[in-house]
Amino acid sequence: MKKYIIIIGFMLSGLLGQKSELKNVKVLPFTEKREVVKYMKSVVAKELGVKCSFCHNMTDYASDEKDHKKVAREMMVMTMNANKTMKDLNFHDISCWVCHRGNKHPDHPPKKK
Amino acid sequence: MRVTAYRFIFYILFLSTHLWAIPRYALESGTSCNLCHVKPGGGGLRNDYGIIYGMDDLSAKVPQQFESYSGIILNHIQFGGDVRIQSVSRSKGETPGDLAIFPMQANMQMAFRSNQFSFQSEFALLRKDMGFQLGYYVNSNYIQAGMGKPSFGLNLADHTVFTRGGNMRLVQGEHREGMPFSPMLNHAPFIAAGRYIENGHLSVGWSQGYFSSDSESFFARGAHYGVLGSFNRMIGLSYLQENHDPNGLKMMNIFGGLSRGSISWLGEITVADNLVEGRSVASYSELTWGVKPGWNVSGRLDFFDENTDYTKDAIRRTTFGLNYVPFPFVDIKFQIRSSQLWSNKASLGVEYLSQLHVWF
Repeated sequence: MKKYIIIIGFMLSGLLGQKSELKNVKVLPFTEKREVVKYMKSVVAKELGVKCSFCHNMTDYASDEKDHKKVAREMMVMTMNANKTMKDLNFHDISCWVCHRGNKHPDHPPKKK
Repeated sequence: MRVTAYRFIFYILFLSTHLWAIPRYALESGTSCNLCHVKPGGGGLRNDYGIIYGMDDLSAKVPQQFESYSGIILNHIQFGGDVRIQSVSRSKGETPGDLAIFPMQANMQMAFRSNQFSFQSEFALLRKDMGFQLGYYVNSNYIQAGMGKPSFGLNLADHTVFTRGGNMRLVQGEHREGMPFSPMLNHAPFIAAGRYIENGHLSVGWSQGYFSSDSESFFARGAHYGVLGSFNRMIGLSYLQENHDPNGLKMMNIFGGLSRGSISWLGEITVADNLVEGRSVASYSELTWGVKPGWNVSGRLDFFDENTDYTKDAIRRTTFGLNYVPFPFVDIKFQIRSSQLWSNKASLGVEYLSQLHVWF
């Protein structure tokens, strides 16, 4: 019985006491990890048709070692700036989908001959 | 009453142990197990993503108090735990079933990560079995050493499937009923190296004393996740060989899965030489339907043939299950299963299982 009291106590202390800060989030305006993950899953991954490993080191999500992550960050800055301008023009917000359409790389028009 | 007490003690001593991963979640997410787990091979302690996945994708409801839970303290150290309590009852025709309720797992886990180094440990309280891994990571490569278990096949969370440890209460007398990954085996010294390649994961390792005190095992595993038309797909191969004996155990495994929307299929086949005598085969196939958030129903077929030269040894088990995750960190399972024998022996009836799994 003592064993189970210890386990339950440990679990409660874990549930109530453990929190953490966001690491290496430089552009996105979120304060909680859950918000970041939700945005990545529902917007970035879907609109680029990629999985997390395309940009992230799977053993350390905060790491910037992959170039795709650095590019993605710049793209987010670009989109946010575009949205700032669009807001003044009374346009809807845009996202990755506008160019990427579910592809890693946006389609380009055929070259003129 | 005394018999029930003895049975309870038996289960505490021999059935509680480390459990493995739920690869369906990796398949549905389209990437390897370490998307959600701290350990490269999956199972046990969850990382940030795994905890959030548990809240947003698995459970029916998220209480407001848990919304900012991350599991991390002091920026680098994380604690977690898994507790499973199981009940089993069996009925045969008009015969009343006997009921056993027992703690199956009570594991405490800890992980420390700083730049390229990591330390993970887990302590199985009920078996007093300690495992730990020291890891060194360079880009997408890693090496690990410590006390652990070989990574093989799907590493399913349910150790009763024939591709893992199989039946704990044998239905065929002295015959073996499952592959050798018994939950009674403790962590053993090991060294492993691995590499992540986009949506793939390769690992090789060597373990000493896992299956028996003098055993030396080489193991290798490769898995790849991707897209097949409108499906998420997974495919992988595993190999394990006992090196200390020329006639030692050799196992080859192929595993895979397909997932689309709320429907997922997972399967694996293991062929083993010298498990008992000659060649043994085990297979697992499970179809799961996520009815709505927090609710899943599944149907499963398991097959095991101790020796392919004598098909009457073979045993097939059919399982139907319901899985309910009311809140993050709580998972309730109900299963009904029956075993059919290829020999003329009568079936031992239908088993009813339920399991409460609490984790953090």
